[in-house]
Amino acid sequence: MNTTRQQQVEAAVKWIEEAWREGALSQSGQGFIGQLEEAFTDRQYEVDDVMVQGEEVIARIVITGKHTGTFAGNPATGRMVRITQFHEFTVNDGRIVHRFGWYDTGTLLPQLQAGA
Amino acid sequence: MTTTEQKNTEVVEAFIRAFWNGNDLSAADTFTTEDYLELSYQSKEGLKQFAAKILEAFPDKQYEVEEIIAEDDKVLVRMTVRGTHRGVFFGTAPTGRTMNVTLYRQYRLRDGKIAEHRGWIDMVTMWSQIQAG
Repeated sequence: MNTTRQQQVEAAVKWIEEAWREGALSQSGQGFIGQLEEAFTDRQYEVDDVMVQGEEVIARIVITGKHTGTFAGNPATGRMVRITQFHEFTVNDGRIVHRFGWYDTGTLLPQLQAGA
Repeated sequence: MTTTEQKNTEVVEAFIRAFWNGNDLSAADTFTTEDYLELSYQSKEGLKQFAAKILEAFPDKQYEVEEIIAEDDKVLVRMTVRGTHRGVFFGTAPTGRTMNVTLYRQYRLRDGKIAEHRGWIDMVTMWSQIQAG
């Protein structure tokens, strides 16, 4: 049975919601995750975009948080920042597999630097 | 996948081959619409300047497409860029170290041409690789 696009998107959004609640959304394999979780507090997320092709679903989310600790050598600024994260899934017949999670830092670093 | 989505995927793959791997800067003109919207490097010129800067710093740079999906007018691609730091990169002198960094690029296409681009790259990992030690 074919899963509709809407069902695929909903499955991905639900996975993200549960991972967020369990504090498991950051498991991306990138080396700075521990530091990122400590450096940004009062974190909230929103789903920015979801793309679907066949069984593949890629969601882009934006996490907002307050920069209250050192990250990548940048001391706390107290600023609210926006951090983009991608999540890739395979969704088929109601089954969802999270294949890849990844933080963008290219758009994050400029927000932490002086004069930003 | 519709034929347009298939075609759009092929255009993006060809652009990555020509522009990012073949270092043909004119591809930024030939593959794009007149009203191309560049959301990461300001403009077509900004895109070319960035590509030239990366090439100078990492002369052997190569991008490998790891994942690519298309939906409607959008194409999203996840790549890995690998290269050796042999030139100045944003003020950092060459270290001879290698980078192996993940990035995403999202394109919008119209009539077989790239009309919009936005990119994301893991700069923290990249800096830690070339500055390590």
